[in-house]
Amino acid sequence: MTEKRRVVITGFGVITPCGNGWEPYWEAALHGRSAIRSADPLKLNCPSFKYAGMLSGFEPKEFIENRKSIKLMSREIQMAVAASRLALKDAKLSPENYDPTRVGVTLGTGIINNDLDEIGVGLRNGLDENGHFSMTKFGQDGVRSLFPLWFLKYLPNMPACHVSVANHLRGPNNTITTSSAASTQAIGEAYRVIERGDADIMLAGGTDSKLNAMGISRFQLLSLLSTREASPEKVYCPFDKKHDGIVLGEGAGILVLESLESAKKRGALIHAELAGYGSSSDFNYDPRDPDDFTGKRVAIRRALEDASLEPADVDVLVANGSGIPQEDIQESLAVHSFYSSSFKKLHVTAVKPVTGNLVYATGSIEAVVAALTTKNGQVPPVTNLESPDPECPLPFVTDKAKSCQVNVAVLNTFGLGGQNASLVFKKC
Amino acid sequence: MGAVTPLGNSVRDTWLRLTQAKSGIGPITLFDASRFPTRIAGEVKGFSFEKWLERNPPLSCAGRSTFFALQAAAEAYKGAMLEPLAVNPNRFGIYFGAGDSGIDFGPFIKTMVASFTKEGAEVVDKGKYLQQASQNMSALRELENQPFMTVTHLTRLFDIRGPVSNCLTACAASSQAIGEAFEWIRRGDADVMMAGGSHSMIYPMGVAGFSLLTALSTRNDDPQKASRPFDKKRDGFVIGEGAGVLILEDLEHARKRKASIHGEVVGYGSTADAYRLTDMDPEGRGAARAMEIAMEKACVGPQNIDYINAHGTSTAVNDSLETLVIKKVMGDYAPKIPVSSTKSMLGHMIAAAGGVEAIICLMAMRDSMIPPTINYEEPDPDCDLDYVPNTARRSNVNLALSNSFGFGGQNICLALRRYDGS
Repeated sequence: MTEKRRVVITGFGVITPCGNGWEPYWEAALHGRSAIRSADPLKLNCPSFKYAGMLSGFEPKEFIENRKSIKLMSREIQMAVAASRLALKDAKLSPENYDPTRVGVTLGTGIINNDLDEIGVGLRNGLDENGHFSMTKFGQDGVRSLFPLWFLKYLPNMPACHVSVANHLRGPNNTITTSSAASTQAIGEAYRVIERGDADIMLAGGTDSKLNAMGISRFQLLSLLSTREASPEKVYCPFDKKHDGIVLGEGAGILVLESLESAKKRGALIHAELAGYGSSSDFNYDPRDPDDFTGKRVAIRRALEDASLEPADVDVLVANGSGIPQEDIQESLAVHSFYSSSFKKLHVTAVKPVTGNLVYATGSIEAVVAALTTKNGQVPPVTNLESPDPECPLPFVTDKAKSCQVNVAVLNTFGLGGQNASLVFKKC
Repeated sequence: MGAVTPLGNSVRDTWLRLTQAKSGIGPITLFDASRFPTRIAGEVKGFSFEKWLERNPPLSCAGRSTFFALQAAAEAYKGAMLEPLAVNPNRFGIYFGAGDSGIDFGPFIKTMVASFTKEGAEVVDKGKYLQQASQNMSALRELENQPFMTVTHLTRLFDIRGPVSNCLTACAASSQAIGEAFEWIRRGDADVMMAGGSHSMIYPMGVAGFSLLTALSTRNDDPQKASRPFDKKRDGFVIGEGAGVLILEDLEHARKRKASIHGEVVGYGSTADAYRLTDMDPEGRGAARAMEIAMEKACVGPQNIDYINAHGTSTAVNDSLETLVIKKVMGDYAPKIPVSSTKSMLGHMIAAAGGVEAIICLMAMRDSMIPPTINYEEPDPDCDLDYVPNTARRSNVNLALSNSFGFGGQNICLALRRYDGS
């Protein structure tokens, strides 16, 4: 077996409700500024769905030259391709300075929800004269009236494939689908691919938008959404007494991971080192059982062991902080049981309220925050945290960003099916 | 090893029928496909969902393929003698390639019918949809349809507390899962890994979607002849369903507990075509590179390859291109290497295909028997390799390659070797 190679981050590409590129997102996080707004522009005509983190001013054409290929892309794919372009630009990588067979892609994505109007055309043609759906009528008239390539827009691996096609990246390609832990795992898996020498550079991250009727209906059915009334930018408040669920957002994040050797050779600017990755599954059946935090703790421990670090070495924790009360409490218990001896040093933040919860993509943009805390020596506050839930007694950064030396930052992300993933970032 | 396939609900049954050149393809019975462009598929038959439900009430809303995964995993777990205490749960991980379970069609269509608009560009009234969905749809079923839930169930039922992942790279998913699980063990992240995949896309929108891509065979009148990889008259693939699960284990760990060893994973290559979304790279560079990487990792050359389990979907493009790729990689040895596509009998089990095909390679080693490509009747000048036509062949297999290529240009190749006791 070849020796483990060190892996660094040399580029960020981020598309979020704060704007395009990592700078507006980081600025908003530092100021605890939420981009969540009234959901009216989505025109969903659903009184119970009030707030969302929506992209504003995102024009796929700015990032994708081939207009024909835009037609084959769902919103998730468009955001991923745009983020990949920004990431390569940030890393100052262009086809002239890399070998495409040594550059791969690993993204975290889930089921991409169908555009209801698009499949609605076919399904409506499956109605019989009495207005009832008929499978025979659908088979005969409905199927043929669908856009022939409709299916290709929604397969979960398509974002990673489009990113590889758009940038001619012919190395290893993978798509991870472990719920909200997916893009954190994608970054971890891509890290392994470079570490073992199967690629020199990997584009890793995720993309997601659940801001559509199918996505929202699922979250409503599962009673995971916040139902509070408040001003939009204040409504999403993980770890606060008032936390009552998720506010959805949309976006994509892609990191350029690179072997230290490759980055040094081309004189790349290094944002941070990716030094550890751990994953685990919760052990109980109920994914929201408040007593089950052991799985979450194990993921954190594995990531630190992987980086050969102790809990006391950690300066910053970018917590999952989903705003689902039970999950916030579970996470607090896990963090408390693991880090309590080093609470004097530890700074805990959570940034989901900045953009809304990006679900499968959430780890991809939070990894950017974790990496930047090490680079810039600034820790964003937990957005909208006014009075912490007494069951979440963690050393939170509140009100405003904290400036301090950050050598090690850890990112936690937890998925709905009980998947947990943690990453460790080191100052480089 | 554990398998649930259109040919049987165990490895033994599946393997027996594969060597007998039986086809598992028939008319679609899971929904009324009588007017669909394609009306045939390889369905799993005689599967006892009740048995699982009785034992595990939380499965009441689980998707069809989750049950296949559990059955295959139970067979693999039992066969590997992994009863509790044989492995430390914290060193037992899982890397799976589980597919989603599709839309919960009945409640979905009820919701849609109630929300269609009368006119205008907007076909569905979203407000009505959201309101109707909350009445018609089941929260648990919606959760269970997500592709990560299969792994959630597997970790709980088999007490898997080590590292966890699930990939969904279309038709290459479970091969990729095996490859990544192999790398995790090599790295020392786990002693034992459950790997493989499960999938069923035999649902209305799945069959509709693949039909529209003109990927499916429409030989509806003769289902058992429809999947005919490498044959001149092939006209598309046939959807299959099922699961294939392997227990991978660190050699030392397996030896220490005196486990019976079916074979060794020795190589794994993953590449992307990065060509076009809808077409494979006409030169097959990505696929060739994946095969080369798998062979490099295994430290073998074309002269060492005894069998290739082809991706062999029975589409016009895949089969001729895969032939080209094998010739490119194997050079002068290409005509001498038996290549077969077991999709001719099983259909294309999508995300689950690679898991079952890896098992088939291991069974070929065990029995020195290469399963055939059935329905091979008329040679295609573009497909001129030894496809082991129509009947199984007795032949020693020490080293086998298994190819899996996915929609979107993802290429995976696994190298498997007979365990020689060293």
